[in-house]
Amino acid sequence: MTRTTPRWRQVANGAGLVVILVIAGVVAHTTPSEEQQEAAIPVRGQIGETLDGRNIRATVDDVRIAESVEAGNGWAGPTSGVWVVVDASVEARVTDLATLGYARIKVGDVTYSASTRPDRATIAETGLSVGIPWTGPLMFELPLPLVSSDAARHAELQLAVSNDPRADSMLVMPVDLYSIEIEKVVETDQPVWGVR
Amino acid sequence: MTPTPPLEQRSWRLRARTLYDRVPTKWLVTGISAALLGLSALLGGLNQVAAEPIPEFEAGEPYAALQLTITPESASLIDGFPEQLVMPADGNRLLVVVATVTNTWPDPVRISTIGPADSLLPVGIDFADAFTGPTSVIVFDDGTKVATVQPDVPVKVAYVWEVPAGSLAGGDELRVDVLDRDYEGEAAIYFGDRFSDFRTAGYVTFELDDLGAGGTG
Amino acid sequence: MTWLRRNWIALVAVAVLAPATVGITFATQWTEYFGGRASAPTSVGAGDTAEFARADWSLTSSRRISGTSAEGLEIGLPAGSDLVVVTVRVSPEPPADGDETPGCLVRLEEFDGTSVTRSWGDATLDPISYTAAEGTHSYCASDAVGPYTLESVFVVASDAGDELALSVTVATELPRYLSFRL
Repeated sequence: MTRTTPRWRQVANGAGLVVILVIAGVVAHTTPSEEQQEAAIPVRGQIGETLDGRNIRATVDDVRIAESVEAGNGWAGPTSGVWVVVDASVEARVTDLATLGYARIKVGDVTYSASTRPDRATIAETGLSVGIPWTGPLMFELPLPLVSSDAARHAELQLAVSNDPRADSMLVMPVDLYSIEIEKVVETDQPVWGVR
Repeated sequence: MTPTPPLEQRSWRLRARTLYDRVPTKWLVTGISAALLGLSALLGGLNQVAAEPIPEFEAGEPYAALQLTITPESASLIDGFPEQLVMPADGNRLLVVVATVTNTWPDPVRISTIGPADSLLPVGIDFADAFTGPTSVIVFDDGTKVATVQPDVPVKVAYVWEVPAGSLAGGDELRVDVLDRDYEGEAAIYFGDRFSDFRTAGYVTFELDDLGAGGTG
Repeated sequence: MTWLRRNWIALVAVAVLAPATVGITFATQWTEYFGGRASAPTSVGAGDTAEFARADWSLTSSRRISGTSAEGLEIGLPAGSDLVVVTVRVSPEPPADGDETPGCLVRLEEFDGTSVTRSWGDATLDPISYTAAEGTHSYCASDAVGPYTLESVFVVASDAGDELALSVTVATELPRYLSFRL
């Protein structure tokens, strides 16, 4: 059998094939998954700082934990866990077709959403105005054993404009729930509209 | 046609091929089918498999469904909940099943009336139409109509159905099925989780309590 | 060299068709996207009348009430906000049989040169106590027979600049919409 391709070209072809395979492997491994492509874009900061997302700006003032809450509108809700009360000031930045639809506390892999049981006494799911913040409490029900566990040191507070936070800004703040003293009762004021 | 080489010179491949040619394929297929049919006839043939009986639970016993652990507690009849603005149409009363629900899912679960997450279904009720879900799901302690259950925080919840006034009375036995479903992974075409259809996982029998016009509800 | 000479027609075809395919695909997708949104403003200056959605629109007046003024405090404006009141005279054409003039969506937009930076919606549902002027409508009347006055009220942040415009969007006229510079 006569060899039509010179030996060096055969080797070069083989090496070229290997290189292409390696590049394909690298690309396949580093392609972002569906989840990563659609993930919310985090804007990180601390409690007390003003965080700016695309269409949301919020400042979290205080986080308190109590066994029961007395809200500004008279609501007093019992819970079999504890109430984590977050005082925050939230406004929209670009358009007021927005509500505080995503307010969550994440501990480990588990997320807790802001309760809508107190109705109008919290700013959960409230319509946002551009440039004019709503200041009020957000109340979360968490189980007591979790709040007293180690994992609660690394809890995160997440705020975003729609209840589907994908592909938009999400404000993320770390909260050390473990170190916050658990009070018996916490009183909250009615949410206030306006610059403070 | 190539002449068949003498026996000693045949390779094992050639030998296998000639052997195969000798086997009557039709006979072989018929034989195997007959054997399989015979075996299945021995094991019951085309009889229906007896359905597994649905277990009965006691009131107060928790059932761990996929997202929620439900403990049905009581069932009662009441005229309405005026403070929560849950009033039935004229001629109807409310059937209330109270259960303690604990979320075992890593995200908050909203118990809504349409497609309730792991739920209860009273059996033998005269539903107004094909929709068998509850008219409202109310948080027992403060009457909130939107019951979002947080992970690991048990909540007492009232499932409310509207029933015609005469169809049930105090003292009747009511069977309430507990429904469950399986997780089928993330949805490929839309955002969210996919679940299988609901199936009955068990039932509880209550003795209905007629609360008349209601006290504390 | 000979290979190029023999295949030059095909190469030219590829060089023309490949970008054309990409361009046309993008163009169809983007025109579809922008066609369904309010993306083509018709700017209307003060005092001018514009014909839009089978009606004539003209801006009659606009004023801004500061939140710290006496009037602003009376209305109960939230701290750090102003009230912007815009009146527009609308003269709808007599509707054809069975047709109703469609409703409109009114928003206040803040500009930075030519691009919109922020926008506010109507304040009719906001917790302020503003009483509308007599005889005005607070929303587009789709059953109006003659000319009427549309008064739109917006609660805007006090730091909103002076480059404000009222945008009127009617679903049947998309992507065209009216933009009245205040």
